[in-house]
Amino acid sequence: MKKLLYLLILISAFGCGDSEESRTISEEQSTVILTNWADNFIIPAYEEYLAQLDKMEEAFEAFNSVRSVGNLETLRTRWIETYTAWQKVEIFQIGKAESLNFQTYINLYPVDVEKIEASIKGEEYNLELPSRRNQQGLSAMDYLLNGLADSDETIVAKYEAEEYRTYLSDVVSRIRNLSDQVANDWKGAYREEYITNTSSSSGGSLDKTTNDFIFHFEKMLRANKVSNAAGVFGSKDETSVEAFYKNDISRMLYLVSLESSKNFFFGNSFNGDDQKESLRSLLIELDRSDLVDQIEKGYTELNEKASMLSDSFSEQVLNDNTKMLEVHDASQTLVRYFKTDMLSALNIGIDYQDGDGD
Amino acid sequence: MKGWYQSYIVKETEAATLAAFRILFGLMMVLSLIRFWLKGWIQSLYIEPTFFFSYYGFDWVKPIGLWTYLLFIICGLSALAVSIGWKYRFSSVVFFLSFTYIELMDKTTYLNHYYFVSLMAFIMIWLPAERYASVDAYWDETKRSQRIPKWSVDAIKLMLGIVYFYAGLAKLNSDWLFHAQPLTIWLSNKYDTPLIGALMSWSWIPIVMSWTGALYDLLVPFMLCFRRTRLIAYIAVIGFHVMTGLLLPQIGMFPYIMIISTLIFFNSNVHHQILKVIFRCLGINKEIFDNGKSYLSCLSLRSRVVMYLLLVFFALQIFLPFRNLLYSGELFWTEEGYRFSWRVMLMEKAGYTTFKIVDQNTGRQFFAQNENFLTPFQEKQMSFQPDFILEYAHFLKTYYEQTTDMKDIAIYADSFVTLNGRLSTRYIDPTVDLTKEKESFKHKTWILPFNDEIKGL
Repeated sequence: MKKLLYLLILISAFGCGDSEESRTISEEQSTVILTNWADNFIIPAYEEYLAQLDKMEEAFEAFNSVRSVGNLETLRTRWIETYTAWQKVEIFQIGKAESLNFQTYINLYPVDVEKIEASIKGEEYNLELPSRRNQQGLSAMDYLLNGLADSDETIVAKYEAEEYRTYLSDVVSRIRNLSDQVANDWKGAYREEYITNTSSSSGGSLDKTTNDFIFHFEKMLRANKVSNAAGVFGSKDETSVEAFYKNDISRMLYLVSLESSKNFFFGNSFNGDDQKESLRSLLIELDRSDLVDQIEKGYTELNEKASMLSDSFSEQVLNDNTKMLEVHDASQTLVRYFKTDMLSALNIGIDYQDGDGD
Repeated sequence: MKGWYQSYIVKETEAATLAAFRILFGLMMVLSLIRFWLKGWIQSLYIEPTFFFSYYGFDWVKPIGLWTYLLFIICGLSALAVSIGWKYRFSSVVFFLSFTYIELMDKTTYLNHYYFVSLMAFIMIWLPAERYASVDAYWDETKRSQRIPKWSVDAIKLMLGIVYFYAGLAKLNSDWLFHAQPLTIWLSNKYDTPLIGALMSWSWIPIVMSWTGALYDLLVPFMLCFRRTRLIAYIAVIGFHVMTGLLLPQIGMFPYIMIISTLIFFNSNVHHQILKVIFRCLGINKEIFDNGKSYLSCLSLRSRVVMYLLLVFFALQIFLPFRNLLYSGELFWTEEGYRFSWRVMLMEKAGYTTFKIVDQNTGRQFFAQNENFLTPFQEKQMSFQPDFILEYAHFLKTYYEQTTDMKDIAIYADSFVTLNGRLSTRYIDPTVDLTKEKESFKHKTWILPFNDEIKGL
């Protein structure tokens, strides 16, 4: 036994020489990261989003009472600003957002125009039903503010009919209602619950937020915004882009979303450039700056490729789809680093059903 | 040698030893199956998926819809029957077949300890484990015997010894011993582990645990065999398995099965004591089994046939884990010869694999969306194991040729894998049309070589 003990001491001395610093995450580090995410990223992002939503609601009220091209244009501008602010909260489908399925009620596209028209024309509808998800939210407002007719005058004229005003009003209040629930939860008890849930298992905040971050990158940023329309998984479909009816803002929204994803990874406060504690610092702590370098390169390359796209992704798909495919390919590189290297290094499992392993 | 053999095969031991093992092992199986059911895994692993990965040559073994539940009921009841020793021969055959069928249904769920259970169930079919402390022997005096051939108990010990020793051999590689991987990764965020979480931030923990783990696996079977070291070895068994159970909760029931199984190494007095407690609770006099009789003659034909059968079985068990030597390439990377070899908890491996579907007639191409066909768990397992990748590619070809107007499809994998903390690299040759490749025991030439070297066994 004594010999065994000596051997162990010898090994541990050897082990210490091999890696000077401990390659572990502590509970305190987890708390620091979660606090940074909550206070410098998530909550400010929701605050900005809610502020924009307030303005959009005001603009809607104005348009609702005085239907003019000028008021429509103002409402449209406010809608774009809200949609832009939305890009920064879309990552965080956690807490109330998760239980409400928040994202799917706000930004599911392409929207179902036929069903929207049928609802306006008098068919009964209940926007709380999951089957109504592609008929509401900011994506449905895209159609309602830009897609009803070719000219602004005709669109305004449509709103002379009460049923159009009612539907738009219902859509706006539904967005308001859901957003308030989620944001109020963050302002209330959830922040504390979030940053104190330092469990290292799959229910912990770090694990869930990282999964959300990857899901956002893979599904929303890559598939929904780019790859689906480019026909990566089937046929090309230029209508399957974000804000198709406004049409010329899809790249702008994409770039905001990409910036938001990148800021989150690097730990930049939601509008800053200060590189606080986040996934990047965590990976460096775990001695994986090689991976951080690759991810940084990946973001830079993706940004370059995406900047070369036209303002309108649907035009890009029709005119020169190869550029869209290049953005998809550049996204794949990051998806791979996130889903294999990063999750592996962080010892986090992808959100999936559990089971035994060996 | 011949003399030793002749005197060995006629050696006898107390039947209580094997009987205690039968009761406890059977109960552990019943509990494991109930746990599996309660966790909802029958549903999520065998009912919900639409596609299942088959072992080579066993593609006829598939889940049977809702009848799968019945299969689990049969398996659980037969485990219970084995435990109480009711119609033992029949129930042990049913348990072996039903359990093995379950394991063969989808290789996504492959675990060394399920394989261990299957092998143990197979061995137990042939052993006289029902001669003592069983319903069979209670009801029928002619089926009672107090003494059985020693080799029947040794067969169980040998199986346990193989599991440990080979698991130890597999740890003798540079990643495990010198880079302390994958333990460095797996222990990196275990600060909230009960009791020992606080220790986990110490930098030397992974390397010490790697070496003690390897030494433990290599030494414990021998230390359990000798009377002088047995107690300390068993304390180590408990300590080791409780520790791994705490740190790596995903290994499920395995630690407890091993803690219970290794009791067989103790002297038969211990098993008599265990049985005495059990039978006192049941209100049955255990002494009726102590009839002093021996089971068959050790030299009877039946006894000899079983012994030769087990000899062949163990010869296979000893060579099978070394079959990886027949393949070129890094074992951890290609996994050719990796399964069924007691390579337990050796790799932190993850992959990202997507498939490009090309219609050769029109040149049209697109990527399949794995989540349409696979559960997240299946996708995870598929992404870093070549045989899964190939089988899935063939499935995709059939699927698209049947459901679309594409009739001549080529499929290429876009695949990246990370192993034990190395930066991910391309895994499958992206220029190879996988629909042209066939599954076999030959080396898969379309796996790209590993960019590093792992020295050792």
